[in-house]
Amino acid sequence: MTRRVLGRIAASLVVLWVVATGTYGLVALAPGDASSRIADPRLPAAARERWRRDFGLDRPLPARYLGWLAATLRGDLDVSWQHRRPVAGLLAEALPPTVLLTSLGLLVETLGGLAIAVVQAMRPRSRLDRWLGAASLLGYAAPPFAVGLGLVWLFSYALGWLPPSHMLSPAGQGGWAHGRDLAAHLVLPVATIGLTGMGALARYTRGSLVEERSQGYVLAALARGCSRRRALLAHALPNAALPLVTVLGLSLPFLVSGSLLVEVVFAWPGMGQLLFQAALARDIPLLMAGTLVGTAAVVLGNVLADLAAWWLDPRVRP
Amino acid sequence: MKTAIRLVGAAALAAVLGGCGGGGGATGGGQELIVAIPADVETFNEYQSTGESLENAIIDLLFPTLFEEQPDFAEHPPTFLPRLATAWQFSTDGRVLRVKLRQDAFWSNGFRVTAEDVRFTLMAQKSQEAGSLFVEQKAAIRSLEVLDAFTFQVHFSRVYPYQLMDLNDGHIIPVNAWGGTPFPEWPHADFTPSLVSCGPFRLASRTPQQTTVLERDSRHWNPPQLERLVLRVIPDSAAQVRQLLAGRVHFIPMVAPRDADRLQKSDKVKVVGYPSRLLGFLAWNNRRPPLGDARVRRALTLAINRAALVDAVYLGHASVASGPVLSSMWAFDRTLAPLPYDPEGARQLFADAGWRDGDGDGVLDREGRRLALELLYPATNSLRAQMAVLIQADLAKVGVAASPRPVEFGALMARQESGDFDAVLAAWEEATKVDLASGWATASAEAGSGNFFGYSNPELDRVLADVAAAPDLERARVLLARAQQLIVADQPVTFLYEARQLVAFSSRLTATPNPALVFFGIANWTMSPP
Repeated sequence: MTRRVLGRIAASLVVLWVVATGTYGLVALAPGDASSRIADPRLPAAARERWRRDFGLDRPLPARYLGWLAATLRGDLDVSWQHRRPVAGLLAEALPPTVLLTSLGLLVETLGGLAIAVVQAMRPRSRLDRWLGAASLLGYAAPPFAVGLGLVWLFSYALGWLPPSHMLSPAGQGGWAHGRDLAAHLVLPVATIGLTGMGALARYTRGSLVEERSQGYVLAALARGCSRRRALLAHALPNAALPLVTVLGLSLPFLVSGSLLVEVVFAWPGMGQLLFQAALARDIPLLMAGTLVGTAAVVLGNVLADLAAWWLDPRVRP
Repeated sequence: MKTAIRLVGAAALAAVLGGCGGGGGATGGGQELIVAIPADVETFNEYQSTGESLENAIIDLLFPTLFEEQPDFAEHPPTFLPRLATAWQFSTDGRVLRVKLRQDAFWSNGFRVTAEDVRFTLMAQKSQEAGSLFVEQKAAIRSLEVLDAFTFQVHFSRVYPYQLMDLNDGHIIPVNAWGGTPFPEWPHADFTPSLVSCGPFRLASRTPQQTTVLERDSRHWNPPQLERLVLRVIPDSAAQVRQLLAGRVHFIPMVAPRDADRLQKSDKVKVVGYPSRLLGFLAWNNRRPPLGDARVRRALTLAINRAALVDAVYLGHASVASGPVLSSMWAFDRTLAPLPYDPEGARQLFADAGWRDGDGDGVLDREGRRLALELLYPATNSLRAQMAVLIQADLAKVGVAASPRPVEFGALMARQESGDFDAVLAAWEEATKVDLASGWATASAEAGSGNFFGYSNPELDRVLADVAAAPDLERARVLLARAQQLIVADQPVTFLYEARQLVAFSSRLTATPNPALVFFGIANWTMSPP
């Protein structure tokens, strides 16, 4: 087991390097560079060349790549070309808001999806099942920005209950007021992520649950006098939820890379916006650091999903 | 247990709803102005900046210039009023300028603003290592000599009409705070922590990608009436408009034409439009046949219904451009009118250049080659996307097959620089300094210059050289008029539009934004109570 885990970790490091190298090559070879952002189109060529030189863009690509790799291995993520600040600091600022938003969103998505699936599986093919199925499909198909804008219109402008954007109000507050302010700002973006994600999860889990409830062990439980609800929740759900672990494991990258559309709609200061702007600005140090974090999350998510599956299901253990 | 959970849940919901304090209501009372900005300020050091106009306007709230440029450039080059400088005088030969600084200007760390700060600023501007984009602009300033703490002399290498403007461009920065950072480190240095400033406002707090709060600097020689200026990052323009209508923000520096009419219907909002300095054009690649032929370029211009295009896309918030100088500028040749929409004339010019629809497929051809071109525009610019489609339709009517193609901005810049394009929908934000040489002279027709479309006219080059040597403005005005006539005759680009800048703000605000600066005269801006 330990050997297998170590093997996965070693393979993961290779994946990390391959993805980072590929990304570096793609970004460096893409047309345009950091000087494209200079606003004055009439600036003399010499000024643009100086700008390029300041960021080392006058050096050959292999030299730039090796320099970046060596620095990264030393733990130096460099300074952002766009923000003129250490990349590590920028990530440290953007990661917590993203993790807070997406983890709560995933929590709502998971609990909501499971709840819908259980209700549906209690009475499969009933009218309620069909209604919830249609609603899940609608939620699954709805674009997050449309759902977000709809929620903002209803709860911020029509009812005036919740703030429409940002993470905090402009006037700084401390203590409990700060917490309440943050919570109020979280409601709508979390709801957007939860509502648009729970549909897929509900449909997926409902299918598994319906399949499990006709298995022999569930029938045996019912025959022993177990209630239908208990048979479903205590016996069928743990087995039906097994594929869910994989789905959630694969959602880990979303936790750290954020949802760009939700962040734009709600002006949320997270990783999605930070990396999108970095891509437009050809900010290679920031973009590469974001890639490393995202890839590490993908790899880690896979490893954790495998470990969880091994732990939950003895049949798939090596 | 279940009851307890329900109670906790209800309490949490109540706390959240209570915490929002009426989420849809107006925010900010008293003299607080909340400004919606589409992207966060990247740096407060102008000499690291890419020169984005809104970022410059925000920097202007924190740092002084020597003079205050006035928006009076319709009849003559802009004049200047005192700002950090209280008096100035040129020597009789015009090569030396003596400037006196005010003595009541202080940096936010308590130091006085002195002539040493101005000298340090000029060193940064002229430094090849600091990353400044001002090096070429300051080339005619040979040196700066500090006479005493509040007096200095500037030595120019030549006499020309824009000496004062060139000296004034760029804000004065604090040597006492930034002088310790060697210039080679500037491109990667962070100047924001403990920002030392000297403007009507000072930096109070900052949450990156969210909010920057500027508070009134009461030590400023002309302190503003507004107590706080809150810059809220709202990337989505539709969200900016909704929040303005809901009273959550008070000022949007740039409103899209499609939103202006909706905002104008609200009695809570004022929309002010004024001639911006944005000149939109369709650049033809003059190096690439058949676009090197002036007859073909002129025919293309005649074939495009620019008035209809401006009306359809800008909804009346722009006018058709006539030439390379904005019609709101003193140097504009008022005898020039936009070329007419004349499809018949276009067909005739194409025929004169040898282009006919020989195979009857509806597209002009010559020697077996079809007149087809690719029309590039920035992928994120919805206005130019609309224009590209309208231009495609107009050109199709005279037998030109244009294919609109959205291109990511960085990639578009790279294609422009390498000359890999047929036509590009572009726009320049013109400076208040009329400088035709940097955009139209052959000498700058190389990678990175404004003349990315490869235009060359030796006669124009001679005229522009004469403009540079013109002893006075009247002579310069005559020469600039001739230059405009030459450029318009050649149509290296099709001049499309001069846009109006639309600013929207709460009707509680009394403000005076104008073409010189969006926050112009902010010291006198006031907010009435809600």
